[in-house]
Parts: sequence; C-alpha cells; structure tokens
Amino acid sequence: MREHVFRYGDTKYGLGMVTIPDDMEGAPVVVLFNAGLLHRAEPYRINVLVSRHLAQIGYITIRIDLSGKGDTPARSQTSNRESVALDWAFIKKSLEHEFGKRKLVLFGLCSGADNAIKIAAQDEDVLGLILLDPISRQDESFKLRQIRGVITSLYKLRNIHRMLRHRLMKRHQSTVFASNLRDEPTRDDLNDCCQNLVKRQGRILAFFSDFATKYYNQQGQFGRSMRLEGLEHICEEVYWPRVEHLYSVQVHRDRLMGRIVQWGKGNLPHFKGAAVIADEKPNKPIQVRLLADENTSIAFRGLAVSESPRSAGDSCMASKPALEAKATL
Amino acid sequence: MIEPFFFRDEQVVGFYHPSSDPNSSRLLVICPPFFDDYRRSFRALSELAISCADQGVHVLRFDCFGTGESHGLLEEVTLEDWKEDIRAAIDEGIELSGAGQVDLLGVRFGATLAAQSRHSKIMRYIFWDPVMSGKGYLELLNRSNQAIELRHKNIAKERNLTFEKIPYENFFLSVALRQDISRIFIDPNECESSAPYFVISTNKADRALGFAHYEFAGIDYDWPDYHNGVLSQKPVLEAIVRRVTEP
Repeated sequence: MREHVFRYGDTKYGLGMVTIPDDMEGAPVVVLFNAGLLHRAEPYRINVLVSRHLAQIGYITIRIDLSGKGDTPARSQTSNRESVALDWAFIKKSLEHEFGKRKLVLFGLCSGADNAIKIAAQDEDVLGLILLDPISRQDESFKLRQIRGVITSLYKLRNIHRMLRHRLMKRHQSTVFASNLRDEPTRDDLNDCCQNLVKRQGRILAFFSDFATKYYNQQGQFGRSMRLEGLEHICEEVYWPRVEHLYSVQVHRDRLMGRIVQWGKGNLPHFKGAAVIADEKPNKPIQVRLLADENTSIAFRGLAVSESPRSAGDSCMASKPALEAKATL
Repeated sequence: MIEPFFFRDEQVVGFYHPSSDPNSSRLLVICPPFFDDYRRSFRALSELAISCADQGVHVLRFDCFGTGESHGLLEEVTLEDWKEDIRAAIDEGIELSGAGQVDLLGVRFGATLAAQSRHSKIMRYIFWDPVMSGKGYLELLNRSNQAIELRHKNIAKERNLTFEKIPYENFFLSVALRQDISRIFIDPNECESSAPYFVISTNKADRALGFAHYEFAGIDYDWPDYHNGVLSQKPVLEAIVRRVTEP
C-alpha cells in the first residue's frame, strides 16, 4: 500500500490523496468526500483510516478536498451544486487518466453523503455508496414510532415541558445553523440515485447515527420509504442511535471501520468483475448476524456474505437504508 | 500551489507552500495542534499558510506521525517521534525553500512540543494559545472524555436505550504517551534563552504566564468546550501574519 498526491481541475489546484493497494488489477476506486467543512482527513481521521483499510483489502481510494474545502481553493460565481458537478467532472478525468475506467464507489458523511447521492444520480460509473447519516424519507409509521418513543420514555415524559419550550424558542430564533446550510439532494436526486443503483446492481451501505433519529428511527426505513423494488436487495442499513454524528468515540470509529471493511470485502468480487445486468434476479434474502455492536441490526439481503465475524446474541434483521444528513461544523 | 509530500521514511506528510517571492529567505514551520484541536483548526492553519506565502514567506505545514494524513496510529506514537518530526520538518522546509531563517509556530499542544525544539536556524518561536503543562492538558483531555460520556448518557436516556458500557475516549493514547505528555511543559524563562518567543492568545489570563512578548488577539475562544465548529479566527490569524511578516 502506498500513497501519493492526486490533483484535479483545469488548473490542477484541486487536491486529494490516493492510496494504492498492492494489487491494482480490476480494483474499484473509492472516492471519499469532505464531511461538511472539514478537510479530507476528518472527522477524527475517519477518511484517512477508511482509505487505508479499504486499500489493504484491494480498493484504490482517493480522499478529496472539493472546491472550497481543506486545501482546495473555492470556485467563484458557482452554486454548491454547480461547483460539485464541475469538481466531479475534473476528478473523473484525472481518475481515468491515472487508472483508466474503473467501477466507482463513493463515500461521504453528512454533506459528503449528499454529494455522493447527487453524483450517483447522474453518473453511471458509480456502482457503490457508503453513506454516513445520509438523508432519508420517512415511512408511514415514522411518526407513530416517534410518538411511541416519547410516551414510553420516562425521561422524555419528565422533560416534555423543556422539549416544547426548546422547540418554541428555536422557532423564533434567527440563528443560522450549519445543518440548515446543507445543500441536500432533491427528491429526484434520491430517486435517480437509487433507481440507477438498482438497475446496475450496485451496492449501498448506509449508517444512521443519533443525529439521524430526527428523520430515521427504524432499521429498514430508508429502503421501505423509497418504495423501489429491488432496493432492499442491494442495500445494507446500520442503525446506531447511540453513536454521535461525528463518531467522537474511538470505539465507535473502530466499529465503523469493521463494518465498512466487512462490506468492502464482501462486495469486492462484485465490484471487480460482476457484469451489470439490469434484470439480474436478486438472490434469496439472507440474514446475517452482526458484530457485537449494541442494538444494531442490519439489512443485508441477496448479497454474498463472504465472512462475518459475529457474536451470538446480536440482532440482525433485514432492512433497507435511509437518508438525511447532518450538520456540518 | 501547495506541494504535499512525504518525509521521514515516507511516514510523515508535509504541505509546502512556496513563497510568492522565490528569493525569500524566511520560512514558517507550523506545528499543528493535536486531537480535537487539530480538527477545529485545520482550516485556519491552511488559510494562514496561504496568507503568509502570499506575503513572501515560505511555509511548511505537516502532520505528526499517527495524526492527520501521516501514517501510523496514535497508539503507536511516542513523544520522541513527534519531537523528531518537528526537527525533520524544519530540515525539509529549509531544503525545499533554501531559507536561512525559520519561524516556528506552535498551536496548543503543538506549541508545547515546539518549545522543546532546538535548531540553529530557528530565529523566533510563535505560540498560539500554548498548552503550558502536559499534565494540565491530559486533565483537559480527560474532562473532554467525561463530557463525551455524559453526552452519550443523555442520548441513551433520550432514546430510551440502555447506556452502553464502553470506554468513552475520543482517542486511545498509550500509557507511555500519557506519561510522556504529563512530563512536558513550557518554561517561559527557559524559552527566552534560545530565541525570542511570542505568544498570541485568545485568553487574557495567559498574560500572567510570564512571556516577555504577549499579545491578546482580541477575541475569546473556548478550546476545551467548543466542539461543534471549525475554527477560523481572523483576528488571531492576522496577528500571526503580522508577526511572521514583520522584518
């Protein structure tokens, strides 16, 4: 495994870092986007460690600073969407120049996940997504589950007056929160992204943390709410309501790495060689047990599970992924 | 244009910002802060480097071993590794730029380490909110971990979940590294014997630390407790640029 600088853009001011695996043959490329305003290594080195772990198992990885983030200067006179689209065009050009045409997997936390979804909606070469706190639609039972969560929680019942006061105050505040500045994917973006990946037999791994509980509160909600046949077969959802958005605890980051590597290993043969057939019949759903990571259940159907270091007693259910993202810093 | 490269057996990453004046004989080496401070100040230090390079000073930023984009994990690091990284970064910067005078800027715990560095080309030390005592810094990191644990307890309560019993540590540090950190400190009196030291601070109380050259940047910044943002403090950066670019 080795690393070198990656440059993109008309003036080559765009900056990233490539990690090369020992065996490059047919290796897919994982592009890691900035989380919010953070630079390409962060938060807490997550992007660096994901890059290196995935390179160790055979992926080429590139952690990128998009324009206006980290070490890449901002573009002027462009909206965020235009700037990301321009960046992506240049990134692909540089990628193809260096590695030839390859299968692409996109990784992003928060606004990084937003960008990954928007790009996957447009780019047919994208075959995989690893999303941390992406956006998600709410399914029919979302509100019911939320209400049930309040009335069965002694803590929430005791503090309901505080919650209401807090909400009322927030409504009248003019403070601008970073999370409100996000340029989230549109409904069409999300539809196109998922449809494209189903059509191409892509793969999605989506994590939902405590941050996402505002719009996601059950394993499988993402896939269910999309109402898209076949999505559940390519999607794996991980719901970690005890985990903070930026994975501030090292144990949580270690678990995250474990799950990503597990998914990466299981899907590497597919990314490397599998022909993309639109009508390919999904495999029979299978259930897998998970790492000993609290209440996590996973939706993992129809994929070849290469290995699963699991411990007895962990719940695992089939589910689907969801989206909406979080704040930025 | 920024020129990233690896040094120290390809283990440590550096980012060289060449001066707008290719004949400049001045180099600024930036020792970054660590742990959560690193995340919050990256943007500011990147902007600082660009600004100084535009004003005629070569700049070298780097990530110490086990941090940022350098190789290794924190668990494997010793304090001696980091001190050696600083020495190597100064040498690399001199070789790349041809500069004969070095300003060494240390931020937070990066300043604590910078204060221990001796090199014949260092003309001046600049500290931004220096951590004066490693022991005190460890206490601060512990408090930060406690705050993280409390936040997770609240999350569990709010979500009606059982609280998971795991170590709520932002970063795992080895026992040896903790011991090393607890022994290190900045002695303002000793500092002045090597080269002039300038402190730029966001805490008025730091005036009492005893540095001969102290400047309050005009704004307060709560390093230990402000965890949710990215820091880009214009007044601090302007103060540093003024100091770095003055004759």
